[in-house]
Amino acid sequence: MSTADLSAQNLSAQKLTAGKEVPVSSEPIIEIQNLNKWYGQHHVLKDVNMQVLPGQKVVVVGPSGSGKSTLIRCINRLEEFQQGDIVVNGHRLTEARNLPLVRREVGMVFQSFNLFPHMSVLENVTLAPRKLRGLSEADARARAAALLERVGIAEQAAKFPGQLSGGQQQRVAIARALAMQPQVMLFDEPTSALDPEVVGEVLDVMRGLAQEGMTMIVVTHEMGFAREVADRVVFMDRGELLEDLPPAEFFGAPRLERTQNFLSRVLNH
Amino acid sequence: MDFQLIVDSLPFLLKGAVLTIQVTVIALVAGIVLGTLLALARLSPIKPLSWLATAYIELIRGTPLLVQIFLIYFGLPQVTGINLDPFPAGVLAFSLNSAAYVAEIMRSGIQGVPRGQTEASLSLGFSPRDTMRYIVLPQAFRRVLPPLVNESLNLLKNTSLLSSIALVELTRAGQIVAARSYKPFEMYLGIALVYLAMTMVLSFLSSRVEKRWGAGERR
Ligand SMILES: Nc1ncnc2c1ncn2[C@@H]1O[C@H](COP(=O)(O)OP(=O)(O)OP(=O)(O)O)[C@@H](O)[C@H]1O
Ligand SMILES: [Mg+2]
Repeated sequence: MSTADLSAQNLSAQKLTAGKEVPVSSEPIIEIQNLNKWYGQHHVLKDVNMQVLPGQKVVVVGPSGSGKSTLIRCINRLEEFQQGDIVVNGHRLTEARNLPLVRREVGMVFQSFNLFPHMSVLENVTLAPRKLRGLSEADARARAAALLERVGIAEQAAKFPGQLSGGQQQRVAIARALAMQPQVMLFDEPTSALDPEVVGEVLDVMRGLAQEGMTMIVVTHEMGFAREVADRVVFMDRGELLEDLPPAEFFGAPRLERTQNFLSRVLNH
Repeated sequence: MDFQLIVDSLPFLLKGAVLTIQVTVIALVAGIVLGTLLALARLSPIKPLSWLATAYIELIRGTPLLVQIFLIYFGLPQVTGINLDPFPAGVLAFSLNSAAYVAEIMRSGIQGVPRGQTEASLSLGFSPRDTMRYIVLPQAFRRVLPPLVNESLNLLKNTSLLSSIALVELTRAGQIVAARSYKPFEMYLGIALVYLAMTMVLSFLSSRVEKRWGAGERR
């Protein structure tokens, strides 16, 4: 069943993104309103507003400590926030009973992979669909096999995470998140912990996902990826969301001086 | 030196050793189950539960095991009217005692599992409870295996304290033979060797388990 599922998903996804920058539906799948967060006295998210339409790819950039991770971790409520509202796919995050629902529909990929070291690659990818989506062992395996194939590590299914390279681990982590068939994928610097020579293989998987129409929010320092894949680039600095522009404008004609300074720093190093 | 004595009394000693093993195994299993629950209680966000668990753990760890044994064997009948035979009394005392020590071992094991593991699990949609069950506890158990083995070795050796409530475990069996034969040196040396044999088997088994668990997940 699951392979059929997947290709069905791919088909509709392709319809969604026949061109590149064209989300069809106009209802935002993620809506962030006046989000404020403090760590003690430290105001780390200041009145952040953002909407993401289905199929959009948003790349979040900004200096270290600007609140990028905190922002995307609020979207699946790995971080609490004190003020504001986030609505994901119609579910209000501030209502506690929506939380598991939202988390099932929002996949997350971490900088440090966070694969489960006590489980094989296959188990990593099948656990959540079996326990949370009620898939049979066989269906979960078939779905996992298709996903591992897609991220290019089908032969490693029986291995344990500790036996894989960083790039391979990150691709398994992507497969693990996709196995829940999420509506949205969040990436928090997915390539920052990788050796330079394997960054490309992870970005390739993400590019493929983008082409299939997945809604993605990606925190990254890979400006090439942002330029090429993003529909919008969002710039954060000191807890504020300062720019939200198409990549051509963001890189070509940033409006604020803070953005210009940031860009000249990251693009020239 | 008369080692014939040990050989002759071996069947009697081995019967004692069997009791020693029984107390150890039952108390260890109970201790691991109770200790894990205690560790979860202590780490629970529900404050009264956490305080209660902490109080229990401190109480047990702050008092001598022998006093705990006496409290259960001699004290319990006085206040409850329930008379326990030496064997159940001993098992009870050791279970309650090892639970406290295992709880602290488990707590550090649970806290040693990186935060990212919990986050990954929650982000997939697992509840905190399932996260504990499928992700954190299995990793915690692997981490605590060495200190847990240490605790079981202590447990095994400490069961000799039960000789003081007339349970004929290995030490008591040795005392009886020694008293009868006037050959305490050979006798206690013999007993020491039997304990050593048991602890060595335990260490060997645990190193096998550790190897097998470690095989798949080299980091
Ligand atoms: N658990 C925490 N407790 C207190 N302060 C925190 C905590 N986590 C993050 N912060 C602070 O919140 C701010 C935003 O952090 P965040 O991790 O979101 O930044 P970032 O943009 O992702 O940075 P980086 O590029 O380094 O990952 C920083 O000033 C950081 O020091
Ligand atoms: Mg970050």
